[in-house]
Amino acid sequence: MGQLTRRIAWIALVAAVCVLYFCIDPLRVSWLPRCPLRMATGWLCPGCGSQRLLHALLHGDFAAAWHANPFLLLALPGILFLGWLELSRRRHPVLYMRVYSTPFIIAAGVALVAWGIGRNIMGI
Amino acid sequence: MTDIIILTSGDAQRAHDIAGLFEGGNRIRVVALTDETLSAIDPAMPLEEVWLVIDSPEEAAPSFKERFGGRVVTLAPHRTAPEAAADIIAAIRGAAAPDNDPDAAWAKTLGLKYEPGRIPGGETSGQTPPPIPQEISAAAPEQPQGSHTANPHGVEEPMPPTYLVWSVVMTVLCCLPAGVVAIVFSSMVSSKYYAGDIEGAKRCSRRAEIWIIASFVAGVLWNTLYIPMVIAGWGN
Repeated sequence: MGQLTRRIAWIALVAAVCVLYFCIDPLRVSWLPRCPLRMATGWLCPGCGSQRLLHALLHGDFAAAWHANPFLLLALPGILFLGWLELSRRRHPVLYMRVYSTPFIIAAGVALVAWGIGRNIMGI
Repeated sequence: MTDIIILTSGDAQRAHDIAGLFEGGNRIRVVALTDETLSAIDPAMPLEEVWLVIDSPEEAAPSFKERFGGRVVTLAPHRTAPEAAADIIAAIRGAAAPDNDPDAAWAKTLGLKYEPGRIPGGETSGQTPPPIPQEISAAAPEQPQGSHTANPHGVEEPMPPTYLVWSVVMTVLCCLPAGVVAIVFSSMVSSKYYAGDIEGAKRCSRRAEIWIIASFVAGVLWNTLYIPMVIAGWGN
C-alpha cells in the first residue's frame, strides 16, 4: 500500500470515528467498548473516559472533556503529532530519531502509568 | 597488511621518513604528486584496501577522495614524520573500529556523516589540531555504497519504528498489560538504536508490534464477546 493510500485510509478512519462519537453520547448507549480493567477490578485505567472526552471535545465542551480525562486532553496534541510522525518516519528520519530518544519514551511510559495510579488514589 | 600510498609534492623527505617508520608488514610507497599521479598507482592493487596519504597542499585531496572511498589522510604541514605516521595509524584504526571512536559515536547520535580517515590538515596556526573531523559530509568508508544515495537525510540507518504512539493508544484503549509491555519494547528500540545495535532495535520493534496487535486483539475480543453477554444478562 502506497504512502498516500495509507494516509488517506488513516484520515478516513479518524473522520469516521469522529463522526461516530459526535453523533453518539457514550453515557447514553450501552454497546460501546468498555474498559476491561474497570469492569474486572473497578479501577480506572489511564484511558478511562477517552470516549466521553472525544464526544465532549467534538461538541466544543472543554469543561466536560477535562472532567472526563484531563491527562488525555493535555496529551492529545502530542499524541496527534506522534501519530503523524509514525506515518512520516521514512520522510523525516532525523526528526523521528530525535523525538524518540530513550529518556522521552521512558518518561512517556512512566507518566502514563503514574497517571493511571494517581487518578485512582485521588479519585479523578 | 595495509597498503599505503603517500602522495608528496616538492621535497619528498618527510614522505620517505614516514615510509621508513612503518614496519615491513605494510606495503607502503611514495609517489610524487603530478598530473599522472593516479596512473602511477598500481592498477592491479585492490583499491578497497589502499589508504592514500597526501603530504602536499589541501587542494589535492578532493579529487582522490571519491576514488579512495574516504580512505584519504591529509597531513598537516607542521607535523613531524613520527607524528604524521601516528596520524595515519590513528586514521586507519579509526576506520577499522569505528565503534571505539568517540567522534563517530557523536556523529551517529547527531545523525551526521562521519569519516574517520579525515585528519584535520592544512592549518597554519602552528597548534596541534585536535582529532575532530573537519568535514562530515563524505561517506564513511565501511558503509555499503547504496545506503548513502538511498537516504538524502544523512542518516546511515534510520531508526526502526518504535510504535510508541500505538503502544500508548493500545494501553489506553484496549489492553493495559499488553500495552505496557509494548511501551517497554518501544523504549528498547530507542536504547538499542542509540547504542548502535541496529539489529536488536529491529527485533524490539517487531516485538512491540506483536504486543500492540495482541493488545488490540484482546480489546476486540473483550468487547465483542464479554460485553454483549453482560448486556444480554448472561449469567444472571
